[in-house]
Amino acid sequence: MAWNQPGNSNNNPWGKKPAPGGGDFDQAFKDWQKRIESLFGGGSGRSSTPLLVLIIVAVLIWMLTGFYQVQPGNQGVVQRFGKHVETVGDGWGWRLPWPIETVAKVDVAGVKSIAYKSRVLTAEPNMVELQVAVQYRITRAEDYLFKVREPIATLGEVSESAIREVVGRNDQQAILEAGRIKIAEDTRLIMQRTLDQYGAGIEVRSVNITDVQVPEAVQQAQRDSVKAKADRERMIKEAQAYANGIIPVAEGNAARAVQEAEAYKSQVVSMATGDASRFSQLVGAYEKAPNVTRERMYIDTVEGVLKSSRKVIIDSKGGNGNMLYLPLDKLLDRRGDSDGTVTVRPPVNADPDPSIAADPRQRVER
Amino acid sequence: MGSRVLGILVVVLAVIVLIASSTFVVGEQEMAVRVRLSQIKGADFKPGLQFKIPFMDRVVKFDRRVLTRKFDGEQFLTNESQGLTIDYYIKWRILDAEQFYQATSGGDEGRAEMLVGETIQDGIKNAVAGRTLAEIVISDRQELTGEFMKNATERLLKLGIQLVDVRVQRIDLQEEVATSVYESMKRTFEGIARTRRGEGDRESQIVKAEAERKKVELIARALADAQRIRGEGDATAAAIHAAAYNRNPEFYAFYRSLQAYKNSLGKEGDVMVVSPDSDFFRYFKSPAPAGR
Repeated sequence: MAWNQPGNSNNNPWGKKPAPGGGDFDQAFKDWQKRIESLFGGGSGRSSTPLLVLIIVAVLIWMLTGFYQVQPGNQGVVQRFGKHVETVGDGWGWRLPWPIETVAKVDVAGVKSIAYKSRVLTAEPNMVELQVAVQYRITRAEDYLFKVREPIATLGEVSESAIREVVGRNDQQAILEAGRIKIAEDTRLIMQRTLDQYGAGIEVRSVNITDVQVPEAVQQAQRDSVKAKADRERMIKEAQAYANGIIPVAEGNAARAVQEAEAYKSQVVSMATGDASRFSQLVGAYEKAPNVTRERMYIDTVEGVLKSSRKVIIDSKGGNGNMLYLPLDKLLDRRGDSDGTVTVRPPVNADPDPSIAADPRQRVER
Repeated sequence: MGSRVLGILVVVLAVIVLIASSTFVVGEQEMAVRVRLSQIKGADFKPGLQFKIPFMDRVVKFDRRVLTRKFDGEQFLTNESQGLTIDYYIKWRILDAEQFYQATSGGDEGRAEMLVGETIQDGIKNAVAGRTLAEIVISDRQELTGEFMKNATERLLKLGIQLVDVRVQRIDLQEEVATSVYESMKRTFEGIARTRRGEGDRESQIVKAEAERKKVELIARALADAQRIRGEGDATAAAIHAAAYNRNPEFYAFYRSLQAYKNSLGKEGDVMVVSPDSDFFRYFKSPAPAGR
């Protein structure tokens, strides 16, 4: 048996009074409408219905304005009557509409940067001009909004103050040359500490000193000091090149001197050996017939000497007392020699015995 | 019917005005005091919706955040009477709204800044006047501001103000100080340049002199070697000669003399004046056998 039979209306589970042609929702609405109408002064309900619809639509639209979207990488900070109630991540959400609740969206993912130029005194004290870039990110949206007025301006102030402090502790060479990274990192740490003290909700990602210059009045001197570094290297290289040039030449000269001496030694020894051998053989022959050999050698030699000379034979023991006039100068003139002395020229070029002629020492010794 | 709608609107408006004038909103970054007839009736409001008596109470709001007071281009003198231009900033915060309202006669932020600024400026002036330029430059925040910060903090606390931080942002030199600093920088760089060139010269001379010494030593050693070798040669030659000639010294003298005559006499163009008495001419005079 079906539970919804027409004849058995009392068993209907949907309601006790099933009203034909309207249902009890219509009835309820009409009741509510009447009550509202009576609130506004009673009378027939016909004329106030459009106003009510208007109000309802307005309320609905007002409620709809409570939807909001937080972009990826952002955080939404929800405030109810100014009080911070929650911080939400990205995506869609709904809040009570204005003026009850508001949402402020803050980018917490993007790394942003500020850059500025600053004249800073170093420890000496000298002055340098720095180009600084600071990269930062907002880490806590609610702190960023509620803790510090003008947080980005504050970031700049803190940055400049921190770099002044760090550079002031360092000398100029450190900033111009090696220590730049250290200075940047020290600056970052001071910045972070200070911003945390203010509760700014900002993280300093990095501090970069992108350029360091000395003041214009000093630049020429600074450039010259850089050039001097190159000059120093150049001078050393030149000296090394010079050294590399002369040492091999000296080595060559030394080797040559030694070789020449060796050559001399060999020559002298060889000649001595030759001479000795020649003499030894001659002595052998001589000892077999000393007188004849001696006579022959003597005559051969004198013959050789006299053969190629002009000669004047004077018998000084003649005893006839005549003065002998010997026109020596004429004799010498004829051979074109005018130095007035009878000389014996060194037998260097015309030596018939080269082994002797080539040995200058023997002439000196004997 | 038209009058009824008007009536409804008036009622709604009245309700709105009533609500608006009996509540106030304190933002997360704000604090407020409620004043009735110049009397503070409440100060410790939390952020959110708060209530007051309409048309009687007045609400004054303050910023709860850290606030900044900047001073740019303030002139100070060091203890060497060098003029400095210092930029600095003060970070402060309203701590007690009630005290602050009273101290600044109505919560005027500008007036508060003036109070804070005066307190700090004196401190910085004294700190700078007690130091040389170099000391100021190398001092960190603690050193420079530490001594007057404590004092100032206490004084400002009575005004409901918390002194958060004082930092020197920039120190600039006044004209004549800058000129002298530039001069000293120039001199420093010139010194560096001279030192570097001097080092270059020194290194260069050392390298060159060393090379020259090596060269001289090399040649001297070689010459010594050469002389030794020549000596060996001479000695060996002399020994060989001596060994050979010792066999018959008398004949050697004869032989060598003849060689010397041959080598030194009887060249083309020589004139020899000889006596016929010599042995060579003995048969020139007479064919008789030699009687020795």
